[in-house]
Amino acid sequence: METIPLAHKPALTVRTALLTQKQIVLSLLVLLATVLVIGPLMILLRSSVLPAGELPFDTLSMTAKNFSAAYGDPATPKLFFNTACYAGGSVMLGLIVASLLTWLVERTDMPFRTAIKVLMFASMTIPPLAYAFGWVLLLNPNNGAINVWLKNLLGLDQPPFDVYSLSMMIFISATELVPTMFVMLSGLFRNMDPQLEKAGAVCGANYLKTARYIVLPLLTPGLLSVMMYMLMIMVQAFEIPLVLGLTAGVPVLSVYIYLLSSPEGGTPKYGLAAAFGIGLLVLAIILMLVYFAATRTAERFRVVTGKAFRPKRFELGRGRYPAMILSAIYFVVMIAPLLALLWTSLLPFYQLPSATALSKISVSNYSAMTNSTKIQQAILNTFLLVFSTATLTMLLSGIMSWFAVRGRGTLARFLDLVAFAPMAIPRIVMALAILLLYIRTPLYGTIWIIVLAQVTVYLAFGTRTVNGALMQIHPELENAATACGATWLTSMRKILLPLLWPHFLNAWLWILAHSMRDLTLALTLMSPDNIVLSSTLWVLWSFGDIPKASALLMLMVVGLLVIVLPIQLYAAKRAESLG
Amino acid sequence: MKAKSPFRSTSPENIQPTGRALLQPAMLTVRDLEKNFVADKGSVRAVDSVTFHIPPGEFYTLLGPSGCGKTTTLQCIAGLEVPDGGEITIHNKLVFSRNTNAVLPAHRRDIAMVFQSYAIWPHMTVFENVAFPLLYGRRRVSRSAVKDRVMKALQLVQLAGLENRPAPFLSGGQQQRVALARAIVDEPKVLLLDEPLSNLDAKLREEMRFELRELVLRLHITTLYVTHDQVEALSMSDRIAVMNNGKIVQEGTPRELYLTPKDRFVADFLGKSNFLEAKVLEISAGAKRGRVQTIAGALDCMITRAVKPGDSVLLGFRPAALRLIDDGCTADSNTFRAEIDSASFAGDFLECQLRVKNQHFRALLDPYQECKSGDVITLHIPAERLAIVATL
Repeated sequence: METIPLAHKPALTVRTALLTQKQIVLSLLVLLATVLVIGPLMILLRSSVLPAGELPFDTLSMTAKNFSAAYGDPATPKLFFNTACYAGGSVMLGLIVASLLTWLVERTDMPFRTAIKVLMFASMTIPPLAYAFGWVLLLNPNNGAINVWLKNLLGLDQPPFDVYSLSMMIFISATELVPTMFVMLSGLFRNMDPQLEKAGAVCGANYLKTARYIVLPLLTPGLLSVMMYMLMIMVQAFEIPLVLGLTAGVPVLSVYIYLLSSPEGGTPKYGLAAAFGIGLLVLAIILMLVYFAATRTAERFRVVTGKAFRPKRFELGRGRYPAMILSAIYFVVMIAPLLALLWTSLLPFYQLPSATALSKISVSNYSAMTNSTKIQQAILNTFLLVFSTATLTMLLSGIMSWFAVRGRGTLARFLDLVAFAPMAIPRIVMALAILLLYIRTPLYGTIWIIVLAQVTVYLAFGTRTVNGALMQIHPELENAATACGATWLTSMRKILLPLLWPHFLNAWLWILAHSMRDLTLALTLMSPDNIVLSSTLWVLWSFGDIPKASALLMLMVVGLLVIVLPIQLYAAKRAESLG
Repeated sequence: MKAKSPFRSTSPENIQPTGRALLQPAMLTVRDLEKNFVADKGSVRAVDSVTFHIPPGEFYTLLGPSGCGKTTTLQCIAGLEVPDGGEITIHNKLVFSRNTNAVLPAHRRDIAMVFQSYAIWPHMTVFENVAFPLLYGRRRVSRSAVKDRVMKALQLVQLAGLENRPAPFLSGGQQQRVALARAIVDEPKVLLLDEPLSNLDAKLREEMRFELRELVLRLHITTLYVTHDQVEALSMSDRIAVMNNGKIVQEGTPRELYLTPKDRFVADFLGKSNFLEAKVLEISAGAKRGRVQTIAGALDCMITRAVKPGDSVLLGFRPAALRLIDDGCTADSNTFRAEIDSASFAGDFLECQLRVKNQHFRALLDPYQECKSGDVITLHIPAERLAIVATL
């Protein structure tokens, strides 16, 4: 009898097993994110009602004394006022300078526009500590170079500037904010349809009136959202207020919290610090809510028409010379502190530039570093810190974002929310909370506690970047690979990863650079074994070893540039080849 | 003999020689498919007990407006969505069954798919795109064979010579062809096409319509096509299923669907139709035909659903279904008189607005006959062109 071929035996995978596989990964991620983000917050809340001299896991007793001490103190309103003045002042000043420069670069025919753009991007790698230290060298009332020169030149009795003042803190922070604002604003200015301006001109308005009644109202929501974002960053700014604000007698919240938790003498007042931390947290959350409202309006006002248009540049005519001088002044202001640091780093002790000083120039500060085991340890720790932080954060962000963007259901949404939450948590508050959570674990005192803290903090940035990139990648690209018969892993490896790679690399780089710059977490969680470059800098500086601190800073800036620039160029090229 | 197979109707051993024509084996079978989505206001049934069978080599189309569930059905078949109920069989292989609570993962199903966005991978060349299924798919071939197969596929879609071009440098039409080449390169049994022509411009769309049809016919690939474009559906398909609100409302050949829509939605969605209210008078033996009372008099029509005398129904007919009766020739049954409200000569046809009492109709008449507005004419409609499309 003829054999008839059997019908295919159905090869079936049990559905429940298939789904739980993904659900297990998702549940583990949710658990991890909860421990990372919500754990510290819970501990912060607990610590704010902790009796003085106790640690959160040692006792169950509660007290409201911290809150009454923190918010009953007549000095506290001044603390909030300082924080508001400092943050508001630097953001406003920075925004004015940045808008002017952005307009000149994006909408006028000013010469050297590309050069300014490149310089702006490069200066983002310079840590805020470099500006703070550099300006102290230039403007301190005793022997700041500019002060001394002006005193001699004008025959003054008093130094004309005092770096240790609120106004100088605002000025220095503003110059440091400009490059970031420039990047955020340039898209806004570039994409504005010039036809809207022309329409104003056709109606008979002169340029000033067009600017006042058409351009400004159109830009306002965008400017507002940049302003709110920057305010969110600046209320938690730490480095410049730490270096300048203490001597100036203008403490801000972030520095005050640090001093309470790591006092130079006496025991840490964790409970009080947590009570202040909650105040700062509430402030940051309010700012974030306002920021979200502002970006929503900005979306509604979008002047990006989507259709191609040739941006017509405003002809400056004779106005180009003042415009160029203005931009040049900004860059001199940016570079001056770096030059001061470079000069100091070449001297055995700090001296004003002079012929005698010039004869003492050497690279001994740099060569001394190779002999110092402390500094070598710091460099090694820094490498470990920045590479593990950047890599771990991006790994976690990649998986989390995939589930958040491609997944459905409450768990996926919860994951996305938890990953974003650290955005609203001021860094000093996070540092304090992590310190309190892990102080009794073997993790405390090692470099890994800083890694853990930084991963938590940068998770928000990492997931936002990957989310944005993933949303632009059509899910059909992955589905097509599956329909071709490729497994999930192959479609991730061969399709999604290569497409995301430039975004991954850029975000990785951003985290790496910021991880190296960060002083808040490194200093709050510092121990003799986990000292890194940024905390070494602070220690050297506070012990008065100015030339070594300067040399180390220069090394850090150059090192960052050497790592960042080539990778950024490569990522840009890759992104371009993808169209 | 062997043990009983669960796939009685589709397994070769169960098909008797005499029944072969009758019980054609299905290449793709979908039975009682259901899929719900969770929306803001509770759950939405996107696919509602959808059932169809596609024999080997057939070009079958799911036609419907956006949101009717046609793409969801396609994605359930491909395995990109997990249905909530029903059964799917591809090439005698059960790939989803609610009853046994089992699914075959998407990458192990014997299908190929062309997506609406084409989903051409921008980081690869044309060659790499087309070679992907051969290198990482279900039916992998040796590296040396890959080149031959890819070249053959590119030739079939007339893209020979473009294999080294990076994907971002392709036009829309070229991307479409690459997507097609990638789908056919590993000789799939079933091809799923999700609105593949909707992103092309009108002229190219017309060309590709013909080319695509030729290609799948030549390769004898069973094709499931999803579209919202009635012209595509009518001109390409062997059979069409019109979908609305997650349900198949009518299935048939393009001719059947267009000429005698049996549902108001089909009549409306596929071209233009006239509607006429009526009361059922009698139903003939066999329940295929019946007589109804309308404002235009008593007419014979097709009975397409369960009705009984006395029921109120809605009749539908196409504008081209009417025939003008000359004074000279005698009219058989099914005639009525109408007044011409307006007539415009359009070359291929004479477009008239007709009025019967207070009801208006659109008619496309023989252009050789002279009519003008105000004339009262006699029209004939064959009973098979007039069908019940809804009960009232």
